[in-house]
Amino acid sequence: MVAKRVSSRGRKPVMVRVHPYQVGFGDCFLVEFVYAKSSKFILIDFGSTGSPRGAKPNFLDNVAADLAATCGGSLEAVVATHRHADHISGFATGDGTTSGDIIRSLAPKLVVQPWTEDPALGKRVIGGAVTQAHKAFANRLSDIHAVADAVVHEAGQLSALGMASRARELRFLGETNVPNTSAERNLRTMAPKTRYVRYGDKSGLEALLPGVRVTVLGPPTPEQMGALRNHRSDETNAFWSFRASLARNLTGAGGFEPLFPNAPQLGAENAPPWARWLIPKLQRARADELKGLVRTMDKELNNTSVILLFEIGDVALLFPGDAQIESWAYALRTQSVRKRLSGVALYKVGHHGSLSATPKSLWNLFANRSAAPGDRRLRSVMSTLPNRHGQKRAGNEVPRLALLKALQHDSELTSTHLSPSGRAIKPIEVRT
Amino acid sequence: MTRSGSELMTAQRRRLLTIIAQDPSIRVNGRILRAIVPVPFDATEPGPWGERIHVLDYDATSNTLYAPLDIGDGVNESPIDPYLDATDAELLDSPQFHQQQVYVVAARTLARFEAALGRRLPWGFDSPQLKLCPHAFAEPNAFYAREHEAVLFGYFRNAQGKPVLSSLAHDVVAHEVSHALLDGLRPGLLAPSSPDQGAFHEAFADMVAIFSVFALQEIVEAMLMLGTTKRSPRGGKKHNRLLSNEVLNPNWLRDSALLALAKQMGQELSGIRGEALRHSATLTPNRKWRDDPDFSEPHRRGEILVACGLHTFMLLWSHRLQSLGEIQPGFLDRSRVAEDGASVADSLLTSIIRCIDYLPPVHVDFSDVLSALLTSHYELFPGEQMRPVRDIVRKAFGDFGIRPASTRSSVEPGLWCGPKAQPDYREVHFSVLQYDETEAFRFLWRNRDLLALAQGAYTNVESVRPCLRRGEDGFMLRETVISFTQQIKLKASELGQLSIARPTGMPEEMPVTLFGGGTLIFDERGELKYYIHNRLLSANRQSERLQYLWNVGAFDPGMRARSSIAAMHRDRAIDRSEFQAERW
Repeated sequence: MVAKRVSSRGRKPVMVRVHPYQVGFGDCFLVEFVYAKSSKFILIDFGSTGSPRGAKPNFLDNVAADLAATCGGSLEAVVATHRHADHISGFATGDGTTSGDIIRSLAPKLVVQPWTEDPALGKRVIGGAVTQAHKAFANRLSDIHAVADAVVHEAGQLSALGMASRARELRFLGETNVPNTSAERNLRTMAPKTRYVRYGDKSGLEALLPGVRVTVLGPPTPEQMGALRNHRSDETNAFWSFRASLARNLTGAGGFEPLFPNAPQLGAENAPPWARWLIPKLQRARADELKGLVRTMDKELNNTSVILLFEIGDVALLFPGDAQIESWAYALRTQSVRKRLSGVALYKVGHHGSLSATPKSLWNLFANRSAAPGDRRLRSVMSTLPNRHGQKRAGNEVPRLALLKALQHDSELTSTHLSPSGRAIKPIEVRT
Repeated sequence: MTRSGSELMTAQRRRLLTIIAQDPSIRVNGRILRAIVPVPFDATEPGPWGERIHVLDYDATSNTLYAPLDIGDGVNESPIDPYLDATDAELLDSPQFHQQQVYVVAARTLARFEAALGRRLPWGFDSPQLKLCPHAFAEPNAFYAREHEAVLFGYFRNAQGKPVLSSLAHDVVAHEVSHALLDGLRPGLLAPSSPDQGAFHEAFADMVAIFSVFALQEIVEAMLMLGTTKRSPRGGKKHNRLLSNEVLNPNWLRDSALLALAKQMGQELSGIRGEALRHSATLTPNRKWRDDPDFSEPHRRGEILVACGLHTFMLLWSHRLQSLGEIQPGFLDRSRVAEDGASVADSLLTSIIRCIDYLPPVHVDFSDVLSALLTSHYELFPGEQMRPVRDIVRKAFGDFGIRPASTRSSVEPGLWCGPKAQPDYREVHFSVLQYDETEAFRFLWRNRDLLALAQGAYTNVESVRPCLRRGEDGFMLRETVISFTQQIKLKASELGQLSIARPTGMPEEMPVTLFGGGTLIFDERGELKYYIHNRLLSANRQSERLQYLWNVGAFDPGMRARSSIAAMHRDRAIDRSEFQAERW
């Protein structure tokens, strides 16, 4: 489908059309603001860490090509909500024809990313001073990446010790959190302007989208969060710092060498009978501990997601990336924000439908929730792939069944996992 | 030089072994502070592997099994203290010393519990031996895992590449072993119940760890050296044994000595569980902490209970020091001050451990803990002479707005009471009741109305435990502690029939289990002396609990994994809020 591009004179969009792309486990939404005589497009996220069934290895290149055709070869802006691979891997460049190259060729005028991606993060001046909290946060992000790298590394070790399924899950979560240098560089340089935003900042999108009010509801900065709770961020930083130094050691030349190589040892492979029963138990405990760690890490980065609220008159569309309640708590404390959120007509389901990215207090705000079909009924859109993240018996499956049930009951849900494979997903139209 | 043979066995058949007194960051004159401590005798195999503790040194990250330490079985071989004369570097670099460190601290913690409670104690699993893994994996965490029957101690390298071992920290080892012991004594306390109960396991383990360390005179002396006083004795080093009488002020003890130690202690390990001692030591008494939402998080809430314990310690220590004469105008004998501090810590530790027997088996809150502490102390020292100690305990908790749960005692404020009327002892044989669960159940059944048991509920005698202690007259007293639980399963829609409110948002068909239970303490003549009960059908308390449990997601299938001690420690280290009520 190729959009007809005509110069626009309309003051506000008459409709918003959301094109969800089937990327397996990831997010990719092309949002089309339809004006009286033209359309303007922004792309919100483009990445995948689990390909859809039957997809070819280069399926993201095909998605990019389709996306380019749909937007008529031009994007107003790109929003990369946060740095997780399932949101940005599609921006990686290659030989000029890969997905990231194609998106770059659409010449977006602006890229919006969270403040945590600012290359000058450790030097950023706020209120006339470089804050220690920002510096520490920059270090924390780099620590988290080092830990992710080590987790992937250790998953290989666990696999060799016969724990393939635990290792698979660890590798999946670890790889989501390792840096994607190519995509990050592309995002930093593909547009003449890049905005690194925090709660309350101007996104720069309003200038590109006449008649649309765009509000940044997240992520909050440590200073903003400090007002909400007496959080001991020093300890959180120390936690990641310890793990990072450990991780750097694990992935370094010594790798998995014993801590005390010269101390007397008994062979673990041929352990004496009194030790044999405990060794596999400890290996499992180790894998479970790593899993707990990697989930904590995942949550930290999810909470750096940009949360955008688009409002056209009294119609609102909410794109929260993977933000979870820890981040949402800051926005939700303000009555005026809560009031505006009550008018949401379309909700992009946070974090692929996980248990903690659609806070119940947010969901309960949506006044358009309804079991009955109708024009005003809340639309929801979700991109997800079951059996990739979490487990039902642990109560953390993605998508979370209780949430899925609520979405299906109280909104008109479009989800990539419910759409027939191999066919384009029908765009969702929201009239303004 | 290595001492051996009878020199290392005291008259009570104990070994004397070297340990790091707290952790490698506490140094005196540039050397790691160490202690040579007695350990109850155990016929050990290499490990050390004894009757109750098995040190098994497998590292899951590097897939390495370190050779076990042999300290001699003490029967056929002479016991040895292999690290008596070791250098600091040897202590830090020898995995076998780390095996010794965890073995000694764990064995002493177990012995401390057994001595306080007057009986052998089970672990929270079937095997009689708790496994300790001093280099379990490369991870800054240490935790007790019931499912593995083990305490796993992680390690990591710091920014300078130097190994940091959680197994070398006395308080970390004592903390984890306390979790294991508490789990054996009161398995129901790991279950989700109330914010206070969520905090209790961790706070209890913290208090045992802190007071075990403070019970070492070497540590208290180090603490006093770290504290700064305005006045110093004249005469330089030769008067080092003098200490300004500023120490008589409990605020000095806390703000100078304790805080200085807290800043040093576990510096390298703060990424493991935050800075437990420092946080609690800096909490000044405040009765309004419940209004602060930060303290609804279990790990933060636990700091309040630990702060109550520390405040009690400081007040008691200061009280004890008032009777210590000055040896020079304005100055006290430093070693006597330290000796008193260690002695106060030791006796407080005993009371804290003993209070477990005086707690209800389910739904513990901080007020229950205070009544249990007061009653357990009263039972040991019923006379007027020791009453000021209980007054101080009551004041210390009162300063944090915590009042005793029991309000009926006519003996002393806050003590638990017996039943409201004389129980029916007919056909109940006390000699059998002392060990037999069926006989205990017979007593409960016979007195079900008096004891306010819930009719129609499933009732289970959790344990019947003998308890030996020395009476005031020096004779041994044998008492009996019986605990039972009750539970009833309902649909949420049926809660209203019991006047219990269904939590907002809970589906009508949701299955709900209500728990209640009690502890009965019989004296040596078989009279029921105390009855400590959390009623199953207490509508107000159950309504509150259910709403809390619903809010924190306790009905989620994954809650069990998230409430493990490993997860609790991780949340504590990063000071994470859970926002459970917001989850699906």
